[in-house]
Amino acid sequence: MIARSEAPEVLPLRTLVVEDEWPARNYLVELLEASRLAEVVGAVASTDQAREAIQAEGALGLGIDCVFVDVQLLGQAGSETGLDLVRSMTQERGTAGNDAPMFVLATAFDQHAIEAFELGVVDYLLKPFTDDRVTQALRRLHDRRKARPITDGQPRAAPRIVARKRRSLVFLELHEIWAFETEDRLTSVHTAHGTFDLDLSLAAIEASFGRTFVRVHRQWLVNAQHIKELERDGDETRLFVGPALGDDRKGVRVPVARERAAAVRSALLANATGLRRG
Amino acid sequence: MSGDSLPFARPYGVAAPATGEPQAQASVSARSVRSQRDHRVVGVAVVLFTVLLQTTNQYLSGAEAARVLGHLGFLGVELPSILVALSLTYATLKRHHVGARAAVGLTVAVAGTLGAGFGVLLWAVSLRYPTVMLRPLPSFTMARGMLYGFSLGQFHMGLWALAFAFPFAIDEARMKDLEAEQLRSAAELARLRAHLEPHFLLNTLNAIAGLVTEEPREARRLIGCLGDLLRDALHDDDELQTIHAQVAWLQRYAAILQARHAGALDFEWDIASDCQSVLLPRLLLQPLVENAVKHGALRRQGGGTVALRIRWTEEGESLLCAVEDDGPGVPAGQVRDGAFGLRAIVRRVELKYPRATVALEDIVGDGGAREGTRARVVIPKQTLDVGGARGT
Repeated sequence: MIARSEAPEVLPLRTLVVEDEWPARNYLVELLEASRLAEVVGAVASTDQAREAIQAEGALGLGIDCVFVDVQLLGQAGSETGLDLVRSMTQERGTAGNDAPMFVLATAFDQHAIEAFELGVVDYLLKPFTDDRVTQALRRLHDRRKARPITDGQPRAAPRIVARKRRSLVFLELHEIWAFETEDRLTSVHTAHGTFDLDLSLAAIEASFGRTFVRVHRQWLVNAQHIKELERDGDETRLFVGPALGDDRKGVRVPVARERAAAVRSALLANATGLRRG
Repeated sequence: MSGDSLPFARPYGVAAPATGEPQAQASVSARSVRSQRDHRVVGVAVVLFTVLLQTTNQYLSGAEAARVLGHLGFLGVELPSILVALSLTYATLKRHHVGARAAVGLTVAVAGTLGAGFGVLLWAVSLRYPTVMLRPLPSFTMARGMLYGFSLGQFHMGLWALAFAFPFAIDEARMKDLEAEQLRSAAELARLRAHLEPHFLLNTLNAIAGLVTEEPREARRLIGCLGDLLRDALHDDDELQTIHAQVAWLQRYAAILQARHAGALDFEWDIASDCQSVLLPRLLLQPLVENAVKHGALRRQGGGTVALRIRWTEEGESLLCAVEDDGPGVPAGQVRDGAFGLRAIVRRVELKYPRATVALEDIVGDGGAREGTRARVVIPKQTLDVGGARGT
């Protein structure tokens, strides 16, 4: 596919996903990451969280290139829809400057698009999503961005993760994260600052940060840099992930799936010296 | 439903009224106003004609002019009074949904009492002005006057029924049929929309596409649920369905919504076992469940629960179906987006079960705080088809 061979040459678009349905949100993140034309800087479930994320990224000077927003989003605060978010953001930014993110509407019907374009939406993505549709939308966005004055001379910021702590959002640098854990579709992220909730599946996170993180278990995705200990007890293999060895208060113990134990062990050892093999 | 008539910002799944329907209803009511006026004119004409005939008859049979005029004067007072009184009685009876037998009894009583009163009045007047007496009988006593008035009242009631009540009754029956027909097709549409509501369908397909790689079993389960819903939508059977079957459908519908809003939505099913085989109109409760999810449970911070409870009331006289949510509810005076769905249910229930009620109420906790919203449908047992065997 052309997109694939072209992909590495372009700078991925910093993308925010706003979608209230869990499978749809993860699916879109996976598709966006797989296209290699975008990097997902956050995936949130409501318009309020989206606003907060856009403002926070803007305040840090990183900016968000594009926002994929579901038209039928149900804001918890009331009946605010995805379109209301677009309307308010484009009006706000239109007066402040030309750095408004490009909005792409995720919708079941293209007839919605005409009205959406008037509000400042630049493209739409039809449901069900497919990788072709996502790739095409992203390429149109890339073309559009080329047409706009190029503002980024500065190096790109490191990707970050947006998590939730009760009702507020937390922004985490990748190196701060020890591990992601999922249980019954509730994903949490373990860090030195505490444990936070995340509105993404492990698969979606893996799609975004697969190089830094290792899937050691169906329920665990671990930051390889922070693995401090590999312990074996009969058939069981466990990892200790944290800042310092052995201090259980500062770190997490992570089970390793039996079928992945060998691969994890050799991957860890491949980058380390000192242990006698065998 | 044409695409451009769909309001863009409408939250998904809120059933939009079929475009043809409001106009049709408006034209029905306009027609009914016009026909009411026409009927009244015809009624007055019939009454005048009858009075004229009667007077002519009297005149031709040789009564004196003074007597004829006196009688005409009496009719001029008595007849309009009785007609107005009967019309008012009729309107009141209709407002209170009084049955036909009781209504006839009451109108007979009103006409008789009023007529008798006028008879006594005639007797009193005749004491002073003997010429107004119908016949110069010395035996025209008060009792006779009363009897005369009573029978005249009955006769005029017959006249009233023929001239006023009868045409309206025929018209009303026709309108009711017409409205029932319209609602049946609207309900049909709503049912199709609910089953195959395109947003619901497309969003579900999207969710399944998302689950395929990571959670294939879950994806297969959802495909199964969706298939069941679609199959049921293709069913072109009669309008009734057992509660058992309706709940089974709603549970699949709920399973899909639950998978799509993972962690944010829970369901509780509390169906009394002695209600399972009761027959209800197909998918009657679906709009209530949809509203409770969309405007209730999903609006609650951290996720909410929708509960469907079906049981007989304590006295066992009525079936109670309640759909409860623990969402923030609707601020006073504000109409929920799903108002159309609720209205459709109200009409559907009203038409099928004349004495049933549908209400939306706040759930208030022990401390007096608002804890959610409850939609209640109460249907009297005697109007229900309780169903013999437990079917699907």
